[in-house]
Parts: sequence; structure tokens; C-alpha cells
Amino acid sequence: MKQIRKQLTLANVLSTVAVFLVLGGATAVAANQLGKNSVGTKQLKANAVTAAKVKKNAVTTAKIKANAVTTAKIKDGAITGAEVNLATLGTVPSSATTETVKGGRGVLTVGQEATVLERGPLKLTVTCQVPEVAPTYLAPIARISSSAAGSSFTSWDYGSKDLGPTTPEEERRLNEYYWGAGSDGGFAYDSPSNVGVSASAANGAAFNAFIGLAAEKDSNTCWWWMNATILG
Amino acid sequence: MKKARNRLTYANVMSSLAIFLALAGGTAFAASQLGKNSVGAKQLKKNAVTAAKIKKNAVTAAKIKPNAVTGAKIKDGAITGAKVNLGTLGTVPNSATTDVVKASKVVLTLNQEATLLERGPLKLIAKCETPEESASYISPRVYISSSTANSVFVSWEDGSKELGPTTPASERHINGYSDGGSTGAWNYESPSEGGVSAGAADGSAFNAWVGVASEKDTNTCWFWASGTILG
Repeated sequence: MKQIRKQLTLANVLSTVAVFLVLGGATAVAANQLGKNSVGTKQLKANAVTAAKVKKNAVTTAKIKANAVTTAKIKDGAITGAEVNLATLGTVPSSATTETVKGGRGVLTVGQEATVLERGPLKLTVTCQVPEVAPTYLAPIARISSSAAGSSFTSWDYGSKDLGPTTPEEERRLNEYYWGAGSDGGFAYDSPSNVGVSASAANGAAFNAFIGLAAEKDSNTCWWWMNATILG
Repeated sequence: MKKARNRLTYANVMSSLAIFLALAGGTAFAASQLGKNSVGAKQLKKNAVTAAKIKKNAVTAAKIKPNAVTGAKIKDGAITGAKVNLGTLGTVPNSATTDVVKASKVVLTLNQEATLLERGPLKLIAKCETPEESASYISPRVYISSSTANSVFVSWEDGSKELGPTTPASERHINGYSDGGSTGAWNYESPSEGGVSAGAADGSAFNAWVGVASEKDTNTCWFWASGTILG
């Protein structure tokens, strides 16, 4: 014991502490002062990298394994139109509307006009008017127009392969004044089967359209119902 | 010098070396010899794992928290048709086209023909022809055909409940030769006059309307067809 106490010099104590630090406690010290690139995969415990340890935006595309983003990982409603490559979609089960089909309906009073369809330079209008040739009538007259020369159209009333900005109004009518016109005051009508029109323009715009028409002289009111299929 | 040599004891050398190792080289020494699984979550600083530290493809499905992928994380256009379970979609607001509606338009020269609409065994065919009925005409004629027996169709011109592969062309007209037919200048007929309803034994069916025009002077025919698929 006396021998041991004799050896208990400052030097021996320090050396013992130092050796202890190096061999035993160095790891703990190092944990706070690890060198650059010193922690590799092997040093990481399983699940050691928790969300809080990952820097914002650190998980880039290349880090994500193919097909890793499964349905459950995607937040409900997260996928908006911008994220979807629409051209690659197959047939969806249903759509509320389609660009291929157009439809509309309206009610006009005498002197009013409505554009019922527009496609490229082509336009369909319905005017609720007292026709010049028959002042006792109220007629819903459907007309076609084109702002580009060289358009063509067919209908029951008129047709042309030279429809354009200068085509006179009377040559662009799709129906006659006495179709659906209320000369006797009551409600008069005509079905869309009679007011059909096919039209196309030089730029490829085209449609088939059908318009049901009605008028009532007593109330100076006209009704129209239009459906069309876009062909180009 | 002698005094210094006297202090060069084993203890002094070891203590000096040990302290040096501990305070100077200890860190590097320890870092290179960190034990396997020795770095846990507690040892990692917040935000310590940067992009460069994550190995390529290291983020697997199990690592991603449910609902973690929000819209902002998905690149525009990244979701392709193959990724979408189309059957689970509700009603989308709009579509460029729909399978329920068919449309086509063609311009033909004399003796040309084109298919305007096809559904199962049923077919609507446009022909720009000189009709048998009148050699002075050029007619934008529309025919229906069926590759299977017992199909049915109605139109202004013809109709049958036994439309099939052997039905003569003369009994499959949708319009008359003069409907839109021309002996000179441009002539026309509205789609209202060129309506047809048709159904086949397999359930295929449609309603269609064809506007027509022709011009004998240039031997040209025009067709505008639209159809609604019924089955």
C-alpha cells in the first residue's frame, strides 16, 4: 500500500487519466467534434435519420427510389391539373363537358340577338326580329357568318362555298321567317331537325349544329335551343 | 539538460502522449473508428442530413410518411396516364373529345370514298360518285354497311332490319342522289336531311347526321358528319 501511494505522483495520475480519455472516453468527445465525412453508413444506427435530422428539400428526385411514391404517400387532392401530363391519359370514365359538343339555350325579346355558337371565324346567331317581308310576324332567325373568306356551309335555307365577311345577310339565313314565327299571336315553333347546318372554314374550324326555335308574338319573345358537334 | 533527462520518466512520456492524443488527435482517431451503429438520432444535429448525404434511391416507399407528398412536391407534368388509376377518377370537368361523340369531315373528288364513322360492324361511308340514277349528277352519297347480319338502320332514303354483308348498296343509301347532288355549281343539303339511326346485333349503335355538298364543275364533294354513340 505504501508502495502504491509512493507511485501516486501527479504524472502517474495524469497519464492514467489521459489514457483513460483516449481509450475509453474519446468516442464521446469525438461525437461532439466529429471530423468531416467521418460518419458513414456503418456508423448510423437503423432509423437514426429522423425527419428532424433531414434538411429541408434534402430529398431530391435522385434520392427517391423508383415507384417509391405510392398512393398512400400522396396527400388527398395533391395532384392538380398542372402535375398531370394530360396528353398521356387514357379514356377517363366521365367528363362533365367536352370540347367536342357545344350546347346552349336562350330567351330573347324582340330586337335582341344572341351568339349561339362560335368556332374559329364561324359564328351562329339567332335574332328575335320582325321580318321586313312580314311585319305581322315575330321570327327567330338563325344566321351563320364567317370573318374569313372561303368558308362553306349548308342548311335547309341557304348554302355557300364562298361564305365570308362580305356575304349578304339574306344569304346567310338558316331558316325562313315563317318557321316558328308567331303570326297569330300564339306560341309557334320548329324542331332542331329542320334547322341543321354544316359549316367549315379554311383554317379547319367546322361543326354540325341544330337549332330548335320558337316565338310568341303576344309577348314579343323568342326561344332557341342549340346543340353542335365540333368537327374541327 | 540532465535535469530534463531526469524528468523523462515513463509516466511523464505516457501522460504527455495520452493528453496529446486525447486533446489533439483524439477526435480524428475516434471519428475513423466509430463503432458500427454508434451514431443514433441523438448524435445527429437537426438538419444534419443534407441532400449530398443521402444515397441515390435511398428513399424508399417505407421511408416516406403517408400524405407527405403534396402537390408542390410533384413536378408539373410528372403524372402520366400510366400512373393514374383512371377507373377511380370521378367526373372530370372537361375533355377535349369524348368517345360518345364522333365527328369527321372530308372533301372527296369524283369516285373517291371515305369512312365517316365506324362502330362495331357498322360503318358510314361517303362516296363522291356519278349516281346510277342520273349520269348528269355528281352526288355526295352516304351509305351504311354492316359486316354482320341482322343489323337495323333507318334514314330518310332507305331503312332495313336485315342490314348485313349481302345487302346491296342500292338498299343502303342514307340520302338521295339529288340531296346535295350537283349538275354544275355548288349544291348542298343540311345535316338535318342526312340523319341515320343504326344498331347491330352486338349492341353497337349510333345516331348520325351528315351534311353534304357537291360541285359538278370541279368534280368535288363535301361531307360533314357527326354521330352520337348509343352502344
